[in-house]
Formats: sequence, structure tokens, C-alpha cells
Amino acid sequence: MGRRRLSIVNRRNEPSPAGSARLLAELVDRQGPALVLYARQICNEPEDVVQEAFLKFIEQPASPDNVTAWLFHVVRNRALDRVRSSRRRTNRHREVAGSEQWLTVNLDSQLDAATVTDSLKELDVDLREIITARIWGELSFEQIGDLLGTSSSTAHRRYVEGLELLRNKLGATCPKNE
Amino acid sequence: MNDVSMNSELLDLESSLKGLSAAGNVNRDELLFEAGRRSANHRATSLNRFWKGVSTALALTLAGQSFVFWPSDDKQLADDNSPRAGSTSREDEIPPDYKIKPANDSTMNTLQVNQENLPTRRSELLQLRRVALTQGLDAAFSYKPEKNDLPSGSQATRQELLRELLGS
Repeated sequence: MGRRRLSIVNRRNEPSPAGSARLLAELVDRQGPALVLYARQICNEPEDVVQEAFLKFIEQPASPDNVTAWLFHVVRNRALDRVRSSRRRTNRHREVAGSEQWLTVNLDSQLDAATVTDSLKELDVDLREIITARIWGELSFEQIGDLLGTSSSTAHRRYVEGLELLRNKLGATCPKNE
Repeated sequence: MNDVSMNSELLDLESSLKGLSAAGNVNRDELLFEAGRRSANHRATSLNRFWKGVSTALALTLAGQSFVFWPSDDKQLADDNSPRAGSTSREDEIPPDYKIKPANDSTMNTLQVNQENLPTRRSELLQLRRVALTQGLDAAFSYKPEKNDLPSGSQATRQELLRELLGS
């Protein structure tokens, strides 16, 4: 797989520091919230995990083919490492993290962010991962399959399954198709 | 293509969910600061590695040169016992004019220099010193000043020149 030169920070042929900082800032603004939401499905220190992923990204000698998919991979691996290394502490914090707001409402949104957050929390972790990666991370099913180590069709099937469960949990708050 | 299998209710739910924004936030300033710090550390580490390599190479080169060119004790000291070419004894090497003779007074046990042929003026003394420095003591012993160059009025006493020569 060919890898193009990293456009954010390149050790051997660096762009100007100001340009690198601007590109990194744009990437953080665009992908940061979705990555944090995704990491939140797995561990309880999502901001730290995402920050580590971005730092790892800028240390790469060459840019990945798909930066977003690569970041999701790194975030997932880091989050799982954290869970494994401090499983007892994570379990204890899972209840504390339950009060955190995962989503914010846009002006044109028809759903209540708190209700959707509560409904999402009731889903299995793998379903939440697929839904967040698909909807807020805007990954394709092929990329989600690579991320989770499954096929794209399995990822799609699980996605549909998760949406149906979510629709059932949302109940009356789900907008009707009229 | 996969989306075709989803019914319209799920598609509506999907679009409605996309209307919500993820609430997670990354501390961008902290991230950029940390990225800059790591980049600076990397540059400093590279420079340190380079200069460490250079100094190690220089130190090894210097040590190798010192080992190769270090003079041995045999070469450092003159071999007083080796006979010189064309001479049978040490006394033969000394010009007769500068030959040191034991003093007549045996109680003093001092050496006396034949002062007849010592240089008689300061320029001559300097020439003698130059010969001794550039060509060695042997050449100085065999050095004979030209008598034609001696102006009678500027002659120093031979004792004075001798003191100066020995003092230098």
C-alpha cells in the first residue's frame, strides 16, 4: 500500500511550523469530537486517548492513506490498552461516566441529545462503536470492518441492528417518516 | 449499496442522528503545545546524537594516533654508548680549541676552558648560539669565527662573553 508524504509534520521536509500547526488544528477541530465520542464507547479517558492518537499521528514519517480511519484505529487500540491495563478502575469509572453528555443538539436536530445519549448507553459496546464510527466518524462500512476486524457486510448488518435497537429505545421521540 | 437494505425509518433516524454533534472536545492548545515540545525534543535529540558521534569519532582518532605515533623509550633517549661514524672515542669529537681540560688545581676539581679561541664580540656570540641551536652542539664546537670581522674597539672581554654564553 503506497503512503504519501505526511502533510502535517514531516521530519525530513518540514513545512513551516505555522502551517503545520494550522493543519493540525484543523484536523483536531474536524475529527476530534467524533474521535472522543468513539473513544468514550470503549474507555473512560477519551480525551487523553485522542490526544495520544494525534501525537502519534504527527510523529509518523509518512501520512496514512486515510487519516480519519487511521486515527480511529489508533484511538481504538489505545482505548483498549487502557481498558486492559486498568480494568478494575475502568469498571468503577464506567458508572461515573454515565452522567457525561455525549452529544450536543444542533439547531435543525429533531432529537433530544440527552435521550439519544441515554439510549446509546444501553446498547452493546460493539454496536455503539459501529454507530458512532459510521454516523459521527463518517467511516465507510469497509473501514469500519477493518477497524473492528470484520467484513464490511457484517459491519453493515450490525449497524442496522444497532439502529433498530436505538429506534426501539427512542420510541416516541423517534421522528416519524411522513 | 448497503444502505438500500435499510428501511426508510432507519434512514430517517440516521439522518436525525447526524443532526446531533459529538460533544467530546480535545484541548487543542495543549495538544499543539505538546506536539511542538516533542518536535523540539526530537530535533535536540538528533543534534545531540550527531555531536556525540562526531566527538566519539574524534576521540577515537586521537587515541589511535597517540597509540601509533607515541615515541618509545628507546627513541626518546639518546644512545650514549653507540659509537659515532668516523670517531673512535668521545674525545675525538670535541674540537681541540674547545676541549675541556681538568684544572691544574686538583683541590678545586673544576674544569677549565681554553679561552684562547672563545668568541670575542657579541655578534660572534650570537652566531655561535645560532649555530648551536640550528646545527647542534657538535657544530658549535667546531665553529671558528673569522678574525677579519673583529673590530678592535668593540671587543668584549672573553670572560664576559663566556659568562653570557654559559648563562644563556
